[in-house]
Amino acid sequence: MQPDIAAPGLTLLTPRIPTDEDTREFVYSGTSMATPVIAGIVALLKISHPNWSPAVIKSALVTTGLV
Amino acid sequence: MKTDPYGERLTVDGGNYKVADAFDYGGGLVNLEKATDPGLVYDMDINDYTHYLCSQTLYTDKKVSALTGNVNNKCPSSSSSILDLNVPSITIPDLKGTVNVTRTVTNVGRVKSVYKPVIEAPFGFNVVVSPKKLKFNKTRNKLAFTVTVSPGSHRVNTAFYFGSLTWSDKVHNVTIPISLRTRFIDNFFL
Repeated sequence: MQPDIAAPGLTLLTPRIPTDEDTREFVYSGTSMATPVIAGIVALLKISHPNWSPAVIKSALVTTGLV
Repeated sequence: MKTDPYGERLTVDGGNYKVADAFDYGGGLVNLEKATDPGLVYDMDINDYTHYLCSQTLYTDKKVSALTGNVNNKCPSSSSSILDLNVPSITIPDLKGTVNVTRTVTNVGRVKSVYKPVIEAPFGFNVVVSPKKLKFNKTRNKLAFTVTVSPGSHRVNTAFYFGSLTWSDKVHNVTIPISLRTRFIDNFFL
C-alpha cells in the first residue's frame, strides 16, 4: 500500500545555515519535512537493530502506526 | 488519528475536504517508540522479491536470473500471486469471489509468545483469518497465516472499503491495513 506511513509535516522548525541567503525561513511544511522525519526514524531503528532488513524496518513502522 | 485533537474528522489537503482513508495515511502516524519493539514483523528476502517479479507475466526465468545476478534464481513451478507478496498490508482491487491471501510473520519480540488475531473487516466484506492462534517458541520464530476474503453482502462494483488485521499478544498490537474493492462487472463494460 502506498503511501505506507504518515509523519508530521506542518510548520516544522528546522535548522538553517545562517550564511545561506536563499533560506530565510526556519519553518517549513509539506512532504519535504515529513520525509526526513521518517528517514531519521529509519536511521535510529537501523542503529538499534543493525540486522533488520529494509522490509523489517518498513514493517515495524507500518504495523505500529497510530490510526 | 481519524480525528484531529478537537474531534474534527481527518481530511485530505487540497480544499475538497475528502475524508482521509488508508490510501492517505497508510499504517497511520509514525510512532518511533513502538517501532523499536514491533513484536512481529513482515519480512522479505530475495526469494520474495523474485516471486513478486514472477507474478508479473513480463518476467521469465531468464530475466529474473539476469536481474538477480544468479542463474539459480528461477520462478516457482506453481504461479505466484502478487497478492501474496509479504508486505504489511492487504489490498484487493478486483474481488469477485473468495480469495485467499497468505502472509508470514517473524517474531522479533519475546521468544515464547502467543498472538491472536483481531479483525476489523471492511464494511460488508467477510474476512476470516486462519489459524486463530500463532504460537512462537525457540524453534519457531516464523509462522504463516491465511486471510480468506469474500465480497460478503456486496453485489455490485464498489469503491474501496477499509479495515485492518491486528495480531495481539496483549503487549504488542501488530496492525496492517486492509483495503478491498469489488469488481463484479469488468471495467471494459463500463
